[in-house]
Amino acid sequence: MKQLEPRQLYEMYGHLIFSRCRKLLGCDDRAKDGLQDCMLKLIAHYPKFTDPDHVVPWILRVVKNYCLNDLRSRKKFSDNAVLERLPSSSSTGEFEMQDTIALVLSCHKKDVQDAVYFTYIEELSQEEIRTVTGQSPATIRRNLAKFKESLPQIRKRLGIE
Amino acid sequence: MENKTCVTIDLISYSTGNCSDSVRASVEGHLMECESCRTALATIRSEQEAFLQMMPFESVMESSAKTARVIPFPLRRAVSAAAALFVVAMTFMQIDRFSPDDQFTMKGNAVLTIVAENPDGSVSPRAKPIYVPGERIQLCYSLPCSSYVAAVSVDGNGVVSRWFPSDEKSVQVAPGAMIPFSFSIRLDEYIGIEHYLLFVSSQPIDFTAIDQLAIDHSAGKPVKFGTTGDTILVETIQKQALHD
Repeated sequence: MKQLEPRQLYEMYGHLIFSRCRKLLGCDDRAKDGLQDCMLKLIAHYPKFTDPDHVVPWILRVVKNYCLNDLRSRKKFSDNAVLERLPSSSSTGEFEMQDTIALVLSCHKKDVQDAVYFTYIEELSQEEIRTVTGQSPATIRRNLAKFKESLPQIRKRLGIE
Repeated sequence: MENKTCVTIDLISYSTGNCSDSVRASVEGHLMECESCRTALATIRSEQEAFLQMMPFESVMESSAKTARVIPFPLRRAVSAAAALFVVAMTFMQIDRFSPDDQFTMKGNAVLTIVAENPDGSVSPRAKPIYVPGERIQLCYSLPCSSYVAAVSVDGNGVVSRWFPSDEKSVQVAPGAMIPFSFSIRLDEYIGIEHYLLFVSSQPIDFTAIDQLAIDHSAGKPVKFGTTGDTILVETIQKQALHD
């Protein structure tokens, strides 16, 4: 696979990273921090890729990890904030973005978190989620079901009925 | 992208121009039939163009270096120095207490951290690993159990520098969190990506092949190091020229 200079990588993937970071973090300055961080990771990791089709799934994983860590570290979504944003029903039908992010952050199991994130935020198909996370469609469905089942528990843990 | 055959990831890969021939053919075939994907692709490309005009490479990847002040790295404030020396001294004093094969488990919590001085004088890990030549950094390690370690760096030209131990006599260090090595590193004039590697092993390290291992590992090539549980930790920094 052809090796690329940092500038070329930036011109190819900078927009993808920035747009995802901005969507999740909701702030240009923080998205720019995310862009710098993820670009450095990409520059360092790129020589390890053997197939160019693996780059975008890798970036989606790295951006997801960066953004969720950033949101957690800034405690933007404390339990109270999650509580306020929880939908009244246990359906995952039509959450607002912030609701969905708050709920994703409340998932303590990474597999479940990945399934929820890539389904409701990236809106990928199950085959694409398999490419990104390695989870089979059956596992994704199981993890989404776990997530839906856990919503009442989350509500109970947070003290709301 | 409403069609069930639409594939978001492939379309994104295609839009970057960096994709396999099979994905290219598949997407181009799909685009012939799918109006919504043609629209999505046009949107991605126009947004990408606007992004690069608004945020060119230099403004993002060099902005930290432009705003960074190069402050001579003090040898440490007296208290910090005393504390660091105390920690290092205690580390080596404890070495004899640990057996090298004493339930050696790495469990993923061995960490290499680079700290540097901030503009406000504090010393901490930098949020973005961007540095300028002349800055001083310090390597710190966190280990779950006593281990033999070796610290080296590799720059983009494949030049290897060994930092620890000072000779080829393998040294075992005690476990702990964020333990600084007793030396700091002044970054040289090389501009580009530089990898700092910490070889961590339950057994004494063989130094005859370590340079090549470091080069190969930094280049993303598969390497065989030590036995089960042994690991190579990597921290990557980007060195940029300081612009006036």
